[in-house]
Amino acid sequence: MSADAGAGVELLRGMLEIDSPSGGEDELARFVETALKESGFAAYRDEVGNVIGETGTGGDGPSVLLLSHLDTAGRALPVALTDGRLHGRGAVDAKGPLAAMIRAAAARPDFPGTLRVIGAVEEERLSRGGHHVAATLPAPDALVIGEPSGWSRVVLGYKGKIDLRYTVSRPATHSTNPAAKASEVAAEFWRDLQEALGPERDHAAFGSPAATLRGIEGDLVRATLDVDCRVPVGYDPAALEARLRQRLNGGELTVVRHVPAARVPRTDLVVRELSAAIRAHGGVPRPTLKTGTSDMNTVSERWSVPMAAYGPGDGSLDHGDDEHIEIAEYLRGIDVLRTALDGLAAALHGTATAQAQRPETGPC
Amino acid sequence: MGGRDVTTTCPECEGPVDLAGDVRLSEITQCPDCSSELEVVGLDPVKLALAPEIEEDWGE
Repeated sequence: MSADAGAGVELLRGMLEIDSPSGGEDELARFVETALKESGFAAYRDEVGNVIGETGTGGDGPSVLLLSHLDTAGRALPVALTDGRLHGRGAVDAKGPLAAMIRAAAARPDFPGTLRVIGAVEEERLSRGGHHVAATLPAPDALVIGEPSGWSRVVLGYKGKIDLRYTVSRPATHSTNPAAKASEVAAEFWRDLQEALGPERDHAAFGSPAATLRGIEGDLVRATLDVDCRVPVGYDPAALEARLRQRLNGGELTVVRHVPAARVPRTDLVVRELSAAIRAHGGVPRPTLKTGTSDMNTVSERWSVPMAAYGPGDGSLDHGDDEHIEIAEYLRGIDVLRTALDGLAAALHGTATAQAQRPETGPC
Repeated sequence: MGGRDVTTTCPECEGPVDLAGDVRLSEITQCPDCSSELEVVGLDPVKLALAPEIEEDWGE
């Protein structure tokens, strides 16, 4: 393994050895900030704890943002490097993609503009970091979201998400009383919700809604359901809520959060440059739509810019107890990102130069 | 910027496909005859292939 590859593996291993659940990313953020500075970036933390690294020649050149996240989901796992695999919580979601972005950008200090890498906080919860980034930084000219697509896949979109909470109470009584108990009413609401989503509901299809019962607790007197619905592009959350409010059966419904679906066309500039980079490294690009949700959804509420999600790692290992990344896969992901950055620089630099030179024609 | 326009052949129906200036690798276009989605996979000479189908997968 080359020194460059070895340094990349050590960076990821160091990140994996720091537990970073949502809301507990501070130690990892400090580690990443130091790693960025040691790699030549100007690095800092923002108000919510995101870590931001900047490189490139700046000036009037284009800006490219590589945005991934620091936090992980699931219990901490032992870190081990065995048989070409690096095991640990976040190996694929999303410390592998974030480390790959850092290594790729670090190799391009002469990027003809501003190249930012951001490790955001709380993506796995309410995307607090991603919201803050989109609210406080200027929209980039191109954006790559760091998630585990796999080295030869480019993600064009994610389903949207509606988080719901249903709570119902019933008077205390003996269990043999024929009246419906709170727990039974809640179970009935779950069935009604699935029916309200329609017979086409499907977690495996990008174009169909689907729901997951994330949590259920209660007893005969009081019961609560936490549900996340994944919804396609153009889905009307108000219509779903209206249908559900007709089936409350005395319960209360709260829409905790709604994030619309995000989708770019396959003609998108970032999709094109990532695809070309995958081909340059011997792969056949696989454009993919994902039925989960990412910070691509979060930032695309504010930014309408070329974007796609990309990162090494097998997404089917997300949040699981066998989370790991193949070292070869990780290193290939870094190579693809470096090549894609070169392609974006070439494609955007001319545009940015032309825009900078274009006389203002609008009203004074 | 501003490369010359190119006319090449659709790999599906062999009809002519025009590409306007500055053709880039992995650019996606559509055949005007058979509507196939095509990807630029070579530049010298310009070569088109059927664009890979869009896959769907669960997770992030």
